[in-house]
Amino acid sequence: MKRGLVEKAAMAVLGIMAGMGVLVLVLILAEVFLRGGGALDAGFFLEESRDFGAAGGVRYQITGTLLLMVGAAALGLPLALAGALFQTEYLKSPGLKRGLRLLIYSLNGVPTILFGLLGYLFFGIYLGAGVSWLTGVLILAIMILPTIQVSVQEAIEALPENYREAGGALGLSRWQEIRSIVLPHSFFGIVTGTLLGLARAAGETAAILFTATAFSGARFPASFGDPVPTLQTHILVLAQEAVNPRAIEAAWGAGCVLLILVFSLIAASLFFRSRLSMEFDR
Amino acid sequence: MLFKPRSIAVFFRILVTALALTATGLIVLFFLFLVKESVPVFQAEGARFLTGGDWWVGESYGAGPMIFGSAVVTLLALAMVLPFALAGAVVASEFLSPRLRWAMKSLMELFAGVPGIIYGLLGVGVLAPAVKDFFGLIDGNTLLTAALLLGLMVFPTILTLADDALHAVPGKYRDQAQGLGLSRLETVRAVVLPQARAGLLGAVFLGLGRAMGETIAVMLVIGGRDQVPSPWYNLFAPGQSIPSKLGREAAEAVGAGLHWNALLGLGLVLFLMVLGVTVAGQLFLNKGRAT
Amino acid sequence: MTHAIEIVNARVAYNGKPVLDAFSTRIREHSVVAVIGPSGTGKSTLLRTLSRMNDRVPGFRVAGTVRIGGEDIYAKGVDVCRLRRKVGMIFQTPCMFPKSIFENVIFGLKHQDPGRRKEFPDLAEKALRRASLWNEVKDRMHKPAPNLSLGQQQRLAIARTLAVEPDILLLDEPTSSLDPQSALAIEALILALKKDHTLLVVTHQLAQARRVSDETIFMEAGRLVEAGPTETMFSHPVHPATRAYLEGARDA
Repeated sequence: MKRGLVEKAAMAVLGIMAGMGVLVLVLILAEVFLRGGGALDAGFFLEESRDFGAAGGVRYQITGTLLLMVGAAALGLPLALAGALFQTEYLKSPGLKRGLRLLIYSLNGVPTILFGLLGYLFFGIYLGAGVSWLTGVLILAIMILPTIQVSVQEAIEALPENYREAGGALGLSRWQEIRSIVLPHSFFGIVTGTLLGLARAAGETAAILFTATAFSGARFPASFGDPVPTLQTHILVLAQEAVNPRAIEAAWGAGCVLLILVFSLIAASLFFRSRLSMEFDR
Repeated sequence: MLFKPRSIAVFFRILVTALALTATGLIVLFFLFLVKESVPVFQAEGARFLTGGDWWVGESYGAGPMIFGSAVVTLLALAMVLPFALAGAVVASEFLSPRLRWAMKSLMELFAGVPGIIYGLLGVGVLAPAVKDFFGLIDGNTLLTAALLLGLMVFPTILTLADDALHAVPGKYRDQAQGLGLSRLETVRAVVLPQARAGLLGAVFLGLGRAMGETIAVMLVIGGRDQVPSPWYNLFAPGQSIPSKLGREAAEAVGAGLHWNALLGLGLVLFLMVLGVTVAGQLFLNKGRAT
Repeated sequence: MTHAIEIVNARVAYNGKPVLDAFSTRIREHSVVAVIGPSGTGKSTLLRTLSRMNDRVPGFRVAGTVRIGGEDIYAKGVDVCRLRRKVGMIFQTPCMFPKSIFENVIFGLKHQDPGRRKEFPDLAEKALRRASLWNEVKDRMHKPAPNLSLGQQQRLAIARTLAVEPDILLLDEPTSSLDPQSALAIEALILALKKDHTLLVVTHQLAQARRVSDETIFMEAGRLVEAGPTETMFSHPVHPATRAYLEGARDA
């Protein structure tokens, strides 16, 4: 049968192309662990970086990355929650709703370097926060706002209308409805969104490069006005300028740490999202 | 209790509205800044800012090479990766078991979150040397290298969005087509792909938007030369994209002078390009979901 | 005397299209009124108008006067939440929150009177007894409510509404998704609740309307065609449209 043969051949081509794409990606990412895995020992996590990255570890780079990402999520989450609730619960005009929705979804695609430039202009210069971790947190919070909000909003919108009606028919006010029906039901959506936001903030480099970080001399910040070192910018500087093989290995090691951090956050978000969809399959 | 239940409701409503408006207002403010701060460079350079080929700090600001570089690198990346990503999406949506599809989608989601700096490191350490040796070049940092790296970066995003678009086509159409004697692959070609066209376009546009804005990874491997290569289609030449230019020069130009205005002008051009592509993509996706 | 419900020339439009038109009626306290008529004639809209459930649906406009217990419920300054506690609503498909039976019964109560927390178990028992569900669930109050049968869920929904002590109960096809046995249980419940409440029941089953109601309203295309004592209307319908509907439905 000629038709069957053509079908089989086409299937094979499709399969090979798909497989190749995935395989190349897997192999190249595995390279990070191959090259950097050797650098990972207790000292790498606990010591501070010395000799232009050639000696010591990345202790303060890790704390810097964590500080920025947690600060950004702590600030971004309330804003995103408010944004989502405002749009789903309080805003009435359908036209405005659609407009705001498109704005939030489109913001997700805005290049992060622009958040860096404009955030620095506004927070760093106009508000006088300078090159500091505070500026970084503010910029990242706005950057991850759409990520969190989209996730929260989709969870809220997936809530079946009859739950709200049942609540409304019992005389619950809008605030009571939010507290006892909407928020508990979108809990996993909120968790998922926050984790994705954390992952995005953890990996971001361009937006904090010249607004919140310093390569050397910075440790754990003593005040809001201090810059911090981070894994991301550490890797960047070493990748661009390091010649000492030990420093290059340290860059791969820092890459490993960052990748593990980001992967854990995304994996956790996937886990919570599967819980979310199970809730509504019932 | 500080508030009676009723005042809590009012307080909460005001709080939510205020926070939401603050965030929205801040974002709108940001982009008003972007426009305001880039006005001086358009006054100084006029249309030459967009078309001019020379960028000498303190003398002239021509964004031509950067716009060219951005366009070439992103389009090339997309052209290279699209066949693979679409094949992956068709396989995942139409031929994998639900379990395997879930596994593949999770993997893609994981990969889509890999930070740009990791790709940058891979670009410097693996890809650029490979391009250099394979093509016998003096330097591996070229437009082609940047495009390859970008292609890898957006592969998971495009695959997973395209798979969503295909999967949104209701099963009854597949049953109908197969009931008429079409093979599974013919069904995909004749029924599923046409139905999913809007969603697929959305996936492509969103991937394009993502590639256009990537800064760090591109900056590390594109070569950083502010010139259109000669001949213009020489992809083995170093070049510059808008985000990589911003990433390189923002730190030194921060805050003052025409140089800073010129960089924000570049930012405005990038913003408009990405916004156009992303909004188009989002509208296509919504349309795909609605049908 | 004041009526439990009084509607004067109400007009409800959705996106400019009238759903209820020139609608007037009065309903006595402690009576059961059945609302019958073809699908899509605005029966549900009538119920939803009485507890302002359409407030959140964009595009709905209500004109005319609707009084509950003598008060205009569409007047400025009316507290919609208090209104809805006075006017309870039961939907076609019961909607259980994914919580325990106990949590579901006190769901509305909890938000109305958080201070009476200590009394909740007693109040829950009282409400469940009145909905004749107590004996079936008293040993598993803390098991998830969605595990109950649909008929039990519907009675739980009624108990949940009774717990906030409404004067009026609106039931929108309360038995149409239930098996006959459960439907009879709900009908018995309706008759028992008449003592303390005024009930409005939308139904497609004419036999049911006849069994439970004192008065019947027949609607068509958003208008009230005929209203009166149930027995009279079923044996001697006045309006030709009513006659046609009753006969057509009887044949079907």
